[in-house]
Amino acid sequence: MTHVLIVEDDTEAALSLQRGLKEAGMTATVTHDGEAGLAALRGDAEFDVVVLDRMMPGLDGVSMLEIARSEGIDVPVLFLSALGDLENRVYGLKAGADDYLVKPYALVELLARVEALARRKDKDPVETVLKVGELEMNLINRQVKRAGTLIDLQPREFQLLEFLIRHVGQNVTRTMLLEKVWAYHFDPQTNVIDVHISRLRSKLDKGFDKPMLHTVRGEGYQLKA
Amino acid sequence: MSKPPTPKKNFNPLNALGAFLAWAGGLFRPTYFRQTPFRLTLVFITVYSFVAVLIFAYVYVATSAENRAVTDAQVSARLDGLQQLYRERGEAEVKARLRQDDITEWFFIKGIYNSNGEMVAQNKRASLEMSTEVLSRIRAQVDTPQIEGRMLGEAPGRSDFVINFRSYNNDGSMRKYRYRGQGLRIDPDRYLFVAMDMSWTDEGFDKGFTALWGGAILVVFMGLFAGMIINQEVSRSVQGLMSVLRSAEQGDLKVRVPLRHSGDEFDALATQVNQVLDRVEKNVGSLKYAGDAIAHDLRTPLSRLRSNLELSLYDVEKDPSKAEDALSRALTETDQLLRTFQTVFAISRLQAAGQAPDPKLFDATALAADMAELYELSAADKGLEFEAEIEPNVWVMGNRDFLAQSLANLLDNAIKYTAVGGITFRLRKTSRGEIEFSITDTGMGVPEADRARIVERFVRLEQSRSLPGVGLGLSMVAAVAEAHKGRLVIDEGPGRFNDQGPGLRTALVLPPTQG
Repeated sequence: MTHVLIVEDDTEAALSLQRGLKEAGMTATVTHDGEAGLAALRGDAEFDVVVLDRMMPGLDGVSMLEIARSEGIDVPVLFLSALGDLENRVYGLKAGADDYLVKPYALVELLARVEALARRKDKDPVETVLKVGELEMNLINRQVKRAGTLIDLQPREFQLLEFLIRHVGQNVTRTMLLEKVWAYHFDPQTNVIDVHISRLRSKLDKGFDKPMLHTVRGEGYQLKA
Repeated sequence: MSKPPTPKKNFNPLNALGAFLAWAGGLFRPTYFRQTPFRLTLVFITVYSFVAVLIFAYVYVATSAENRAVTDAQVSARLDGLQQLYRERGEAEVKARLRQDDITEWFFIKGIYNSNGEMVAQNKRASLEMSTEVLSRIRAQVDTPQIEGRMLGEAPGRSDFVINFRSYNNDGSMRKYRYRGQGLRIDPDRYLFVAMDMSWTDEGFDKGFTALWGGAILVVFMGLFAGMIINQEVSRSVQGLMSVLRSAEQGDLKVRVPLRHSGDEFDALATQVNQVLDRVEKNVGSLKYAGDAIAHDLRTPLSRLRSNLELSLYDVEKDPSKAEDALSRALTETDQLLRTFQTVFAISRLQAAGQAPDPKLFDATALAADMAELYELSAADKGLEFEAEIEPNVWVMGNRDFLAQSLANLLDNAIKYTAVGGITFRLRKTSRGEIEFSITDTGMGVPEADRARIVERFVRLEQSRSLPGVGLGLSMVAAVAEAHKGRLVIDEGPGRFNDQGPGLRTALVLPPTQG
């Protein structure tokens, strides 16, 4: 089971976060400042992901993260920065965060990202062929086959599918896709990502009885085996 | 009844003197020595004096050495002549020669004395000016044991001497004399000497010295005076600046430094300070405005959200199965509200900062290609043509995410407001080196009268009310453009097309990339 460390000084926010994680089938430990968070990380408990708030009394998020990283603590960290803190977002990534979210965020967005970070740990980075059920993606010759049939994909569709395969069984939000696949951080206003997904879906699922690429209402997408 | 005229003050020289002294005393305030222009004046005066003394010393040393050499040569020649005459023709002949000295020899005293200190022969100048005191001083320097010890006829030892003495003219005025001469023993009881009067050249030097001192004192005083005047002038200008800055510090942002339009550095500085104050005032104003605007902007959607929730509550009371629907609708509305809030906040931050955060040099061609790729499908989905003309190798300095957001807004608008036809997305460098992202659509367009207005926050035109949106897209683009020192251009599109149009052309134009 995924165990999350929450470091957030606002008690109410921390508790609702804890509950949200619990609903998603994870467990969470809450600490309310940087010192306590650091102590928890140094302690015996194993954490899969840390959700770290930037603004805290005493030791702030950036400093705490820097200390933890300098001590060789390499647990994935999701950094929470306040609205408008564009510069702080950059600081967070520089300090060693693996992902970031701007407050206020949607809970589904946070859950999807925590899940992604938690799973990332046990991925084999040198895989050359990714397999999900009858779907097979060869990263060397960049070929995708479903049940042996070659699927012709544009480069971006390939990237999109690769990301979905790497997060198989997880919810993937539109913002995550824009950030991780297109490498942009902005609000696309409308359904641009949906259109790309539906084109990918038409190539991936057309002619097969069982769809693999699912839309999760209000949350995003999920690739299922 | 008119008031009696106030008595006119009589001019009182004492008062005037008092006033002058007070003013002059003011000039000598100790604070003066801490002020830059005055310190510069002092430095200048010191350096000037030092250099003047140095030059004069050099002139003095050089010319007096020359003078001495010339004098010594003249004296020596005469001494030789007289010595020779004495040897060859005897004392009487020398006596006669000395008596005949004409005016050209006026600068010299010449004579022969014996060991008793009696003059045996002398020229006219000597007879007039040589007192026994002078003679005894000449003897003291000429008639030395060292010379006495020498045998006559052997290399005669000469003795140089310098004698200073004073004499008084008939009118009682004092004259300083300085003689420079040589003397030697020409017979066991005869001493010959020749000396030249140096007072003329000395006088020249004296005059030079006097002139120099006078000049130096004049320069020092004039310098000090000018320094004080300049200092006063400068401190008055600086005081003006200081008092304005002090007021600004205390929160009065309306104060400005009065300009004298003299075109000097102080005016330039004052102009600069005024510009900074303008900017600060504007920023503070826009921050205040932004705060008010955010509060105002969020009131409407918040109250709408609230009334919808209230209505949902009625619905759910009647039919509990509608609860999920109601909640998810509320969630969607809240998300929309948050997005609105974030956008308003971002616009305000950009406007207040006046610059884009974290600017970097990045590949605009790649950005344009990515945006084209992202939105091409949305256009195709709606049955619109999508054409992208992207100039290769265009780089831009700025915030990539904000520029991407702006292009997204423009592309989104173009797709949203175009029913048939197509969209052309272009990136090019203009002839002036500006970087222009433009989007042309064949949609309904915007009447010219409304083009300025649609950039304002929450402004939506009548014909677009039915479509989703809150009216912040173009405001955001305009704010991003301004933060990049660029501009948002809104123009007529390509014209009417299949009963549609006239279309719209929007362009985000950024200044040329430096370097």
